[in-house]
Parts: sequence; structure tokens; C-alpha cells
Amino acid sequence: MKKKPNLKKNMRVMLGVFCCLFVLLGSYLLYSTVVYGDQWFTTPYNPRISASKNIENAGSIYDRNGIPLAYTENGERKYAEGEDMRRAVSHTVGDIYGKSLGAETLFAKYLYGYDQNVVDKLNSVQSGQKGGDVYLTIDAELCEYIYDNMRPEPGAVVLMNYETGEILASVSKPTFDPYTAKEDTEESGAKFVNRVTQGLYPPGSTMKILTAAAALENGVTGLEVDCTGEAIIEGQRVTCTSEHGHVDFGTAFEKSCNIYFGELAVELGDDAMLETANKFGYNYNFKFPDFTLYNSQFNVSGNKGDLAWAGIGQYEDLVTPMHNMMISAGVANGGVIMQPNTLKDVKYGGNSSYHYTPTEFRTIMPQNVAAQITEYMRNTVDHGTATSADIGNATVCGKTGTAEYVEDGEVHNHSWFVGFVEDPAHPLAIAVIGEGAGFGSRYATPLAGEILEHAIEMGY
Amino acid sequence: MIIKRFGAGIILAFMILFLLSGMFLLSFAGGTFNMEAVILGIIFAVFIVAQYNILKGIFKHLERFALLIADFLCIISIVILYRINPDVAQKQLIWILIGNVCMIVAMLVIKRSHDFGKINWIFMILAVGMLGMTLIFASRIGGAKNWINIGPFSFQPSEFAKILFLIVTAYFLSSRDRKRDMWPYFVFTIACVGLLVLSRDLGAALLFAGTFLIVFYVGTGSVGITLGATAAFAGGAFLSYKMFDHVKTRVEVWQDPWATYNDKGYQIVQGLLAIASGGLLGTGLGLGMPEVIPVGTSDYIFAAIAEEFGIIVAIGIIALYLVFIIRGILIAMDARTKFDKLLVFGATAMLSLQSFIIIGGVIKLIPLTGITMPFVSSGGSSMLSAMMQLGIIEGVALKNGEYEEAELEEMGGGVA
Amino acid sequence: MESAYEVAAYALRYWFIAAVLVILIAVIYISYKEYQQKKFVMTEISQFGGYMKIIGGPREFIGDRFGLRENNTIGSDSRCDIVLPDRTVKRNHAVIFQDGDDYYLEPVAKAPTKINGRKAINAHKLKTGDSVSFGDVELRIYFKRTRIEHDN
Repeated sequence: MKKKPNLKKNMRVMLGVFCCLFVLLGSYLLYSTVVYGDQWFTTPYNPRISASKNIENAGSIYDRNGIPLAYTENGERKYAEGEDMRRAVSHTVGDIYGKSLGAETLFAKYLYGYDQNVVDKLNSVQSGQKGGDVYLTIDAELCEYIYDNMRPEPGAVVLMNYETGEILASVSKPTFDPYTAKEDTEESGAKFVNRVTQGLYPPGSTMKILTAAAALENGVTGLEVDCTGEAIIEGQRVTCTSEHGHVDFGTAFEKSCNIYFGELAVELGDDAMLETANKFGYNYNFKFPDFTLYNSQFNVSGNKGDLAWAGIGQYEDLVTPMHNMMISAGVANGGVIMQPNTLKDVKYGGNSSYHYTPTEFRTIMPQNVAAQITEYMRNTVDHGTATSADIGNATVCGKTGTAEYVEDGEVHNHSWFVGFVEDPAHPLAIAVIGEGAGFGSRYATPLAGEILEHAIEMGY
Repeated sequence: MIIKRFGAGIILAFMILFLLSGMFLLSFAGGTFNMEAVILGIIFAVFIVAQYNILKGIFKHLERFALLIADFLCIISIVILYRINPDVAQKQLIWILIGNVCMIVAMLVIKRSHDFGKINWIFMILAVGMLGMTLIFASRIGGAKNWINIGPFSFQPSEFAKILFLIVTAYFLSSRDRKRDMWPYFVFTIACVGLLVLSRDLGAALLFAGTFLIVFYVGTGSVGITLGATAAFAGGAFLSYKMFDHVKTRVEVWQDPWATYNDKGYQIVQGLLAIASGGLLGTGLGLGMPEVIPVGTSDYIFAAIAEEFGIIVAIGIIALYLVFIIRGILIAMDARTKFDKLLVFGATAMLSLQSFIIIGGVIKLIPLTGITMPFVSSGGSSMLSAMMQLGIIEGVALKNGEYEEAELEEMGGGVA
Repeated sequence: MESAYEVAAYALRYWFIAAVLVILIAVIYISYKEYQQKKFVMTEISQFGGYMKIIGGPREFIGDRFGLRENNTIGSDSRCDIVLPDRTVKRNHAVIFQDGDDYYLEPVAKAPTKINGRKAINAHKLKTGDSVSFGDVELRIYFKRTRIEHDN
């Protein structure tokens, strides 16, 4: 005998279903807006940003010392005076047409006065300017110096205060001029790409910092190798730039011996290397509030030969100049990386609404390991591969990097330098890369030294 | 034993204040004072107050809360539409007035009728005919063929086919005991959904199919067959995903609209941008840029509301829809005949499914489909159809009320 | 003028939000109260087969109504189902009970009970419109005429 359907009960079930559906709707809306709202708003194709009525009342962008980098005059957007300075800060400041991802887009919320609280609104109404003024952490004059001293070919430089996380300079070549950005129809947008945060390169020998840290944490420091300039490690041919002779942990680091570190990586194994890489921030979705940083990559295949190469910064290793600099900053700061920020202050009508406070990002190594690596990096500058970074007014610690890559069937080298100033009065961390510029010690290292020396003279 | 009706005056008062304050503010939006906005506001306010009180007076057992919620949604609609485009708002007001007439007609028809009996066969032919006509004659707007133009007017036949579908559904599920006797109804449903898919009106197809599944489950209680039918529809949907490019596009764009933010994903991205720029409290009426939202007056009106009024109000609207649904289902549970029960439940389910689908699509919870938001979106056919569904709900509510009153009177009580 | 509008629109956001919330909460609250009350009343009356109303006796009782269930004890004792607190009503005075489709009145021995003016001694079938009296208190009886079937 078939059961008669109980409509009331069925309806109650559907009522429950509908309640769940609508609660889901409401909570999803709330959640995604609160969590992703800012991210959504700062996409380049937001017509609210480039709408002329908003430009008229937009706030201005200044560097940390008050030099105007972007402002509105007579309904038009104007930028820094000299072309060199304009180009030097072009990627950090950005443009209003969504071609690049700089402050004009990332901080549009403040510049156009969206989502203000009552106090800020009152301040901006009083001053007659709807948007707020944004003060960046960068020093535009330092950026200009860097721009003038970099070679014209593609490359990137980034400089940060490793105690507070303030980005003092970030320059990426090729640059663009915001005045001509609108008409610029360059296809792949190569000049609009900010190589500091969006350029992914093999780290080359700068990876040895990570491999060394992994070895120190796992107690694998006793290895000794006789480097003849060439060796077969697990079936793969590994070469060094010269014959290093008998090397131990310390000397291998100073001389940047590939064979030593290749064997070291194999000794550590896939798991230990991957664990350290993940701890350092590789394969991690950076969610920094002030900018978009592409993910660095570290893969293991199970093949030891690949691991050897990965340990010296090749195989599938990829890192951004920003991230590579952050790692050195972590070493300098007792193993703690501070969150990199580009926003220093926001003011409405002259009254401060936001003032930057240093935030820790993560601890990548214990203090004693950081101290040891500092020593090796100090030695590297003192008498190792990075002596051209040695400067007169402070002690520099660093690591050179020569990253191989293949283009049009030929092997080229990116020139890397990462390092820091070991002096609490000048807590500077730096990364320099010259695309295809050859050995790390040839281009990036001396340039880094000059930049650090100049920054210290400027008072940083 | 007496049932008291509680005073809902405070709700009406705040609704009218909302309307008048919104229109009054908008009258200054252009820099100089614009009398038109205020006049529109006053006309609508007078209408709402009259409508509510007259209906309440004539029909003692009126479902007041569903009506108030629908009225408030119309109010929000008028305010935001006037902000975006005053002409659209004026047209919308006319449609609301006509819609009210349709609602009252529907109410009276449902109140007096039983289950339409043999007329249902005519309804089925009519509905299939309307949908078939759309497929053949319609002009293509925005990729979907669902509008027919007659002179200066355009209307969507699928909106009216909806009503017929609800009646036919209730009839077959209530008058037939064995499932196999319902086969004409199954054929009819598949025909409707199929025609809609062919016309590329995926939103309406989803709505018909979803309503069928829900009402079928409630009416027959057979979980097995319902799940089977759901699987069949899901299979059909999957097939259409493989076969039709535009379906594939919808799914891709739902997963990552930012990748194609300036062509395929444009609509979704603009909606999310609008919602983001409003934040929790909104930008303020007249201070945002809802006019750049594509289809911002009909399908995407939710994004415009979220931009200028804020997320809190947006969630409030979602909650109001939920309360509306709850009231509708309560009426369905109280109905005295199986036909009435399924008819009201169907109307409620359809309205709730419709609002869930469009809001879900705008906030990127589910892929976007092109349907309107009941009572809020601009568009005559949409408003008339929603009003008629409201009329169905009210009609059965009136029937319920009469039965209740009779039962109470037997006990010497009554309804106050 | 434009910035005045901006400030006004900006401030009114709070009003609009408040109005929507008030409307939402009021709708939920009032509809819930109404629903609760209605449910209570309807379930109450579904338990009763009828009721009786006091039409004679002490003035303050006139108009009072009592629902009739399957079994109702009547008397002046407070433990009775239907309490008539009058001197002329015995503590346990009578019972009205349901048997099949009909209701019967059975007085307790020696309790002065009348049906339609005539003295009642044994169980007596009742119909709508009958008047019964217990002592000085006179009531009229009404039964539900129809049982409205709820379609499944």
C-alpha cells in the first residue's frame, strides 16, 4: 500500500532548504566583500578610477619626503617634474588607465575618497578635496639616483628598511612615462610590468642562502668537497666558474661553489629542501596589502640531479627581486622578515587618517642560524665573490648570484646581488638584478654597493 | 476565541519615509532643485498607502506582510532606478500600477476557482505556444532570444508562461495519484525547458526546471524520483556545457572573471567593483557610479543597490526575500485543498528560486544567468509576472482566511 | 551646492540603513506574533467539538464560554474541567461526554440539572441549541456543524 505523501512535512523540508540557501547568500556576500572588497576595487579596469569627475577631486601622491609624484591640476593628472624621476618611480606610482599596477590603482580607495569613515569624510569636505593624500615610503631622489646608475637594459632594484619593512626604493626597467601611458599600445606591456614584484627569475647562486639555512637547521654542515670545477652529481653535470679546491661549508659559501652546494642539497634531500623553501615563502600566496607580489616557485621532482640544481638556484626555481630581497632582510633581522609596505601615510585635509606601523611577516629561521649566515655573507663581501660591494661607510653582507637561462638557443646569465648593511643605524636590505648582464659579481654587485653607499650618505 | 490582527502601521510608516526621503534627496542631485522627483515620490507614496489600506479593508484576510515586503521592494526599485535613469523610473511606476491591477485580478480568480480542470490542457498548449513563438519570432537581445516586439512595446512571453506552468503543475500533481498518470505534465515540462534552452534563455530554463523539481518533491514526496530527475537535468546541463560555447563561457567567467575583465568577464567584474566600492555602508545615494554597471537597471540592479546603499541594506533585502518566502510557505501549509497548497507553494518557490539565482549570479556564488530580480528589476513583463504570483499567494491566503473564520465562528469566535 | 549634496547623501546613508533594518525587524516581529497567536487559537479550537455559553444566572457570568472536549466534568470544584463557582452548583455536578458522533449530558446523582427546562436524571443526548442548567446557571450548547476535512 503506497504511502500518501505528507505535503506539510515536505514543505517544511523545503522551507529549511530555502533558509539555508538564503543564509548562504547573505553570508557569502558579507564574507567576500569584507575579505576581497579592497582587492576587487583595485583592479585596473575600474571606471570609477579614471572617471574625470573623480580625477578632479583626487588626492595627491607624495614620496616620503613630500616630493609630489602625482597630483591633479585643472582637472588633469600631473606627475613629477623631471623625466628621470618620473620614470624612476613610474611603476610604484602607476597610471590612471590601468596599464600598470601602481599607487594610482592600488590606493585609489584613498585617492578618491571611497569607503571613508565619518572623521575622514568631514576632514576632506572641510578641505574641499574629496580624496585623501597618499604618502609613499619610497624616496624619489634615491630612486632617481638608482635609475641613473642602472644600465638601460631590463633589470630591477629594490631597497627596504629591514627593521620596519618600509620600501625605500623600487625601480624596474624598462620604465614608462605616465604622460604618454594612455597612447602607449605596446603589446606584451613589457614596460608596464613591475619587475620588482612581478618579474620571476631563477635565483642562481643567491639560492645558496636557503640551502645553507636548510643545512644549518638540519645539522648537515660537516661536508667537505674537493672542487675541480666540474663534477657529476647523480648523473647530472654540475660546473663551477673556477676550480675552488678543497672547500668546507664556510669557504664554499664565500666562493659560491656550485659543486659543494649541489652535493649539499642532495644530502639534505627533497623533503628538507622543500620544507625550508616553503618556510622561506616559496610557493606561497603573498597577500600583502600594499601591492601584488607574484608567487615564487620551488619544485622537487624526486630526481636527485634536479635537486642538486635546485639547491644552487636553477632547475625550476623562480623568485621575484622583492622576495629575494626579503630573504636577505630576514637574515639581517635575526630571522624575522618584516612585511614590506609602500604606504606610509594617508591624510584627509591635512589630518592623518592612516600611519604606517611595522608588521612582522614571518620568521624564516632561528636567530642563531641567521647570525651564522650573516657571518658567511659578511665574509663573501669581505674576501669572497662580492668584494665589489664593499663600501667605505658601513659593513655590507651579501651574496652574488649568476642565474643561467636560455634564450634563442643561447645560454645567458642574469646578474644578481642580494644583501644588507650590518649596522643598526642603517638597516638596509637590497636586491639587484640585471637581466642578461652576466656574472653576479660583474654588474649587480658593484651597483648594489654604490646604491647602499649613496643611501647611507642620504641618511638612511 | 478571537484572532487579533496586529497593527503593521509602523512598517508602512517607515516605508513611506524611506521613499519620500530618497526622492527628496534625489531631487537635489542635479545641482538645482528638480520638482519631478518629489512629485513622483508623492504619487507613489499616496498610491502605496491607498493600496494597502483599501486592500486591507476590502479583504479581511489579506496576507499583509507579503504585500508590504513586495511594496517595499518596489519602493527601493523606484528610488534606485530614478537615481540611474529617471525615465526608466517613470516607466517602472506605470508598470507597478498595472501590476497591481494584475495582482488583484489574479487574487480574485484564484479565490473563486477550484483547480481549473480541463482548462489546464489549453494552458499547456498556450504556454508551449508562447515559448515556441519566442524561439521563432524573437529578436536577439544580449545573446538570448526572449523578447518579442509589438510596436513600441516589448515583452517576455516566458514570464507569462511561468504563471501557466504553475497552475498546470499544481493541477497535475494534485489530481493524479499515480506518477504514470502525470506523463502529459512531464512532457510539457520537458518541452518548456527545452524550448527555453534552445532560445538560450538559460535563466528561465533553470527556473522552470528547478521549480518543477521542488514542487514535484513536495507534491509526491518521492525522494528517489526527484533525485533521478535532478540527475537527468544535471546531465542535460552538463551536455549543454560541452555542446554550447556560451554555456562554457558562463562557467569559465564564473570561476575567474578577472582573466577576461575587459570582454567576457566584464559584466561580472563591473558588478563586483560596484559592490566593493559601496562597502558596508554604501557610497551614498547619488555618489557612486551605478550607471556604468551593464544591465544595471534590470538583471544587475542588485549591484547598483549594493553600491549606493551598502552591503547591510543588500543583506537586508536578502532577508526580506526570505521572510516573504516563509510567509508564502506558511500559507501553503494552511491551504485546504491539495491544489491550493501546490499552487501557492509553486509560486513561492518560483519567486524564491528566481531571486536566489540572480543574486547568487551577481555576487559570483553561482554562474550568472540572465533573469530579473522579482519586484525590483525594471521591466514590465517581470513586474507583471511577479505581481501575478503575489496575487496567487494572496488569493489562496484569502481562501484560507475564510475557512478559518468559519471554523472560529462555529466556536463562537471570529477574526477581528 | 554640490558638496552640500554630498554631505547630505553621505549622512543619509545611515538613515536608509536604519529604515531598512527597522522595517525588516518589524516585519519579522509582528508577523511572528500574529502567527503565534493564530496557531495557538487554531490548535485550541481544533481540540473542541463545540462550546457552551452562559445565558442565565449571576450577572457576572453571563456571556462566558467554555469549549467542550471529549470528556468534560462540570461543577463548582476547581478541579473540574468546567468550573462554575456558584452556590447552587454542586462540587461535582455533571459530565458531558462524547460517544461516537454524539455528545451526552449525565448529571451526578441528586444534582439539580435541567435540559431545555425539563429535569434530567440519566444520560441524555445533546444537540445544538439545547439549553442546560446546573442549579441557577443556565447555558446554551453549540456544536461544530461541519468538520472541515483537511485534504492530504
